[in-house]
Amino acid sequence: MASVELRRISKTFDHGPPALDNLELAVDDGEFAVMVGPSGCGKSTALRILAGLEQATAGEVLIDGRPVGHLAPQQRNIAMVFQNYALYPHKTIRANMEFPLRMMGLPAAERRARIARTSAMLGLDDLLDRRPRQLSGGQRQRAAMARALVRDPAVSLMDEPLSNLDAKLRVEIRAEIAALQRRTRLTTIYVTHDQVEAMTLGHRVAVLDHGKLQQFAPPQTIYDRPANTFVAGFIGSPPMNLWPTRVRREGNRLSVALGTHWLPVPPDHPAAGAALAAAASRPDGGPVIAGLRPEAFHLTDQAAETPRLPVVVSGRESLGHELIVTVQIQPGHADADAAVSGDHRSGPAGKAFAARLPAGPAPAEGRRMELAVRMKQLHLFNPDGGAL
Amino acid sequence: MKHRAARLLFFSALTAVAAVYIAPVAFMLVGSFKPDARVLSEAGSWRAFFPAEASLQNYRDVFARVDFTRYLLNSLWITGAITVGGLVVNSLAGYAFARLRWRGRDRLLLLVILLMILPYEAIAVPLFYQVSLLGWRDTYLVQILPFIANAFSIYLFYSFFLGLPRDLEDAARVDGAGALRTFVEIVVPNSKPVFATVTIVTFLFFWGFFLWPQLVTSGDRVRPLPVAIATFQTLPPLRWGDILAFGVMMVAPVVAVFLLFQRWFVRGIAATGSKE
Repeated sequence: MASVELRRISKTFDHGPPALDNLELAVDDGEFAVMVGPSGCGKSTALRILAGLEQATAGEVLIDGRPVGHLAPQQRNIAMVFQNYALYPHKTIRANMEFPLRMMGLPAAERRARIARTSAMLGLDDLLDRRPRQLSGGQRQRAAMARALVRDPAVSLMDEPLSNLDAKLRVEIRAEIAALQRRTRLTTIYVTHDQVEAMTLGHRVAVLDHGKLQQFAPPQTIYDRPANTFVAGFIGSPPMNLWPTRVRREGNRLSVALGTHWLPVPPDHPAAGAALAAAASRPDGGPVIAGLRPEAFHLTDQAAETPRLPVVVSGRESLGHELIVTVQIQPGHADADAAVSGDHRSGPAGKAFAARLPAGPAPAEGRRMELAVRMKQLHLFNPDGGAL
Repeated sequence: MKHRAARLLFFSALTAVAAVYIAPVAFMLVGSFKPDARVLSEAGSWRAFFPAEASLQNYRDVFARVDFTRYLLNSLWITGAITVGGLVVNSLAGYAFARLRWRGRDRLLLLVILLMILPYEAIAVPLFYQVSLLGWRDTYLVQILPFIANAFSIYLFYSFFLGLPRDLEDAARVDGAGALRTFVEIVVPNSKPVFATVTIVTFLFFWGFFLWPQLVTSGDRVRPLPVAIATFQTLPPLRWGDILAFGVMMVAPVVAVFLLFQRWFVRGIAATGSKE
C-alpha cells in the first residue's frame, strides 16, 4: 500500500501539443481515485507515466513519497489492468498469474499459495487451467485483475478495464471492483471516459481535459460544485445546461437573465457574495455563465413561489422512470426591456436545454408550458469558465 | 446454360495452367522410376506420365555412383544452420527495430530495406574475395555465416512485431520482465506465423542455393545438393533416370518442411498482409 503523487507532470509527444500540462495529483494511501475525461485528455498517458511505461517530459512521480521516475516499471511495485486485459494468450490463467511471481523470484510453494488465495478471492478456481480465449469477457476481466493483484502490489492501475464488456456485465464487474478495493484497501487509480464509472467507483474523481486537471474532488462535490464549466458540462447526463448571460443588481437583490427573463438569485446562494456583486456592477453588464442541471426544473406548482420560465417543447425522451424534455425559452412579454441584449440576444433565448421531469404523459412537441426553476441549484461561472 | 458454359471454360483454362506447372514435376517423379531408356524415348508422349517397368533401380544407381548421403547431410546442415541461426538473429533484430528505442534506429532500418532490393549476385564477387582472403573457402562456415543475417527476414519480423498488441509487452514489463525475457516468453510464443514463414522462405531459398556454393566449394566434402546435382549431370555415363531420381530425393525434404509448417505459413502470409 502506498500513496501516489504526480508533481507538475508534463508530457509532449513529438513536438505535438502537450498531452499532459503540469498535472498535479496526490492520491492517498488506500484511496480509490478515478481519472475521467474525454478521449485524448491525457488520462491514459498519466497512467502510463505512473506505471513507468512512458517517460514524463517534465515533473516527478512519487510512490510512497519516494521519487520513482528513474525506476523501470518492474521496480515500482505497481500492477496494471489493461483495457483489452493483455492476458498472455499462450499461457493458462494459472501461468498468467504465476508469471509476475516468477519474475519476483518467489519459491514454487509461495507462488502456489498466492495463486490459490487470489483465485479464490476472484472466483477463478475452476478456470485456472484454461487459456484466455476459452474465457468469457467477464472471466477474462477477472483473470486480468487476478494477475494484477496476485503480487500484492503497492498500487493498482486500471486503464478502462470495463470498456470491452457489455452494459449488464459492466455494472456487475463495476460492483465487484468496488467491493474488491474495499476489501484489499489497495491504492487504486482507475482511468475511464465513463462518468458513471467515475461517479460510482471513485472516492475522489479527477476530471481531466486537454492534459490539465480540472478538478479533483469526491464525486458528489464534482456534481454539486463543479470547478468550471468543463466539469459542469462533462459530469451529469444530460449535462448541465449552460447559458452565457448577465447578472444585475437592484438594491440588494441579484438576478440573472435566462432568455429575456430575469430570475432572482437567492440571497443565501453560495455565489451570491462579493464576487457576483462585483460582476453585477461591472460597466459591461456583468457577464457570467449560468448553469442549471436538468433536475433544477420541475413542472409548475401553483402554490410555490418559485420563479417560472415559459418554454416551448422541442423534443422528449422517455426513460421509463423519468422524462427528459428538450425545451426552448419563450420570449417574455413583461420583461421585454431587453434583459438580454447585444451579444446575448441570439444566444440564450433560442438555445434548447434539457429538463428532467417525473415519468408521465410526455408533453407534445410544440406545446408551450411553464417550468419552475429551483434557483438554489443555480451555478454561476465567470465568462472564462471558472466557478464563481 | 450460358453461365454453365462460361464456368466450364473458366475451369478448363485453370486446369490447363495448372497442368503446365504440374507436368515437369510429374515427369520427374514418374521418370525416376523408369528404366533409363524409356525416360527419353517416352518424353514426347503421354506415356511420359505413366510408369512402365517401375523400379527403384535409378535410386540405387544414384547411391552407387555418388555419395548422395554426404551431399544430403551437407545441405541439411548448411540450410538448417542458416535457418535456425537466422530465426534467432533476424527476429531479435526485427524486434529491436519494432519496439526498442535507440539512436539511429530509423536510419538503420532504412538501410535494411535498401539491402532487400540489392540483388545477391551484386555482392557475390566482393564477398568471394573477402572470404578467400580469410581462407574460408571449402568450409561449412563460408556457406552459412554470410547468410544468417537477412534483410528480408528482418523486415518480415519487424512488420509482424509492429502489429502485435503492445499491451502484452507492457503487461510483461509491469509484471517484472526485462526486454529479452519479454521477447522470449511473451513475443515469440505469439509470433508462430512469422517464424513459420521465415523458416519456410529461408529453407526453400537456401536449399536450392547454387551460385555461392558453386563459387566457394571445390570438393565433395562440404558440397551441398544443388552443386552436386549439377556435377552429377555431367558425370558420364549420362543417365536421365538417375538424374530424375536425384532430383526427387533433393526435393523431398523441402516438401516435408513445407507440409510441417504450412498451417502457420498461410496464416503468416495473411497476417503480414493485414497486420491485424
